[in-house]
Amino acid sequence: MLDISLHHYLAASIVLASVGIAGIMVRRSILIILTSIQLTLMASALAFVAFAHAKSLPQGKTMALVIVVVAAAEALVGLTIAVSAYRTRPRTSIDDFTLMKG
Amino acid sequence: MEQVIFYPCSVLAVVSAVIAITRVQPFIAALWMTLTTSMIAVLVSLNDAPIVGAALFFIAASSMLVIMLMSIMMDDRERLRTKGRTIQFGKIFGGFAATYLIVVLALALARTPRTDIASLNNAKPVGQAIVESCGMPLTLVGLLLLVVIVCSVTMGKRNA
Repeated sequence: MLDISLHHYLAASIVLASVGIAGIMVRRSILIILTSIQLTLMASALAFVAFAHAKSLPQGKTMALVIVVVAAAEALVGLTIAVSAYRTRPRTSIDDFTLMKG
Repeated sequence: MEQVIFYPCSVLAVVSAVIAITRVQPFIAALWMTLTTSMIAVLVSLNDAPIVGAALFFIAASSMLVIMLMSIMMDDRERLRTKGRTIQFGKIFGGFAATYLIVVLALALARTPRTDIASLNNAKPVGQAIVESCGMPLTLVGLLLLVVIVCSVTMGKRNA
């Protein structure tokens, strides 16, 4: 069998990030867009960790931790905005939220 | 052993991510995305970063669960009435995934040599990197989290 190298992890990361970006661009539901953003961030964290392991640099793992925390913060802010918008207009489609004014 | 774990986990992560972004119901999408998160955590752990994998699993999977709860709260009734096209496929796929994970876990437990726990974790180099060379990003992340918490509470109270 093929040995697993950095390229394998990067390929998996690229595919996952592409799926996440496709979800952001194609889907209209605000919740699925949030999960797609999370997927993209996790794919980038995977790339950081793979590079850190290949180059023996612990900074990459630290940056992956930072990305995970940023993803959690993004989910929190996005859900807060979604709930606030949902109270004024009970829809989950992003097309219904064309104005930031509440 | 690494090949046995890497290929199925990466395929499972990609397939569940594709299923997640193609689901109509956000609740089902968040469930599939939780599986994707778990598989990415396994891939991260394969790169000698079990702490990062555990953090990714707990933080990202818990945020997915929060999204699931929000999707229950904000569900669009019209969309919930529409049936998913691949419900049976999802059950079969989930059964295979669960069986595979149990087999891999059993293999890992059976083949793991008895070593010192302290030699397995990588907390020391990560902690040294945080203190020595990544102080600024960690400070910025701390500030970001503080701002996020304050903004969330403020927005929630204003719209309550």
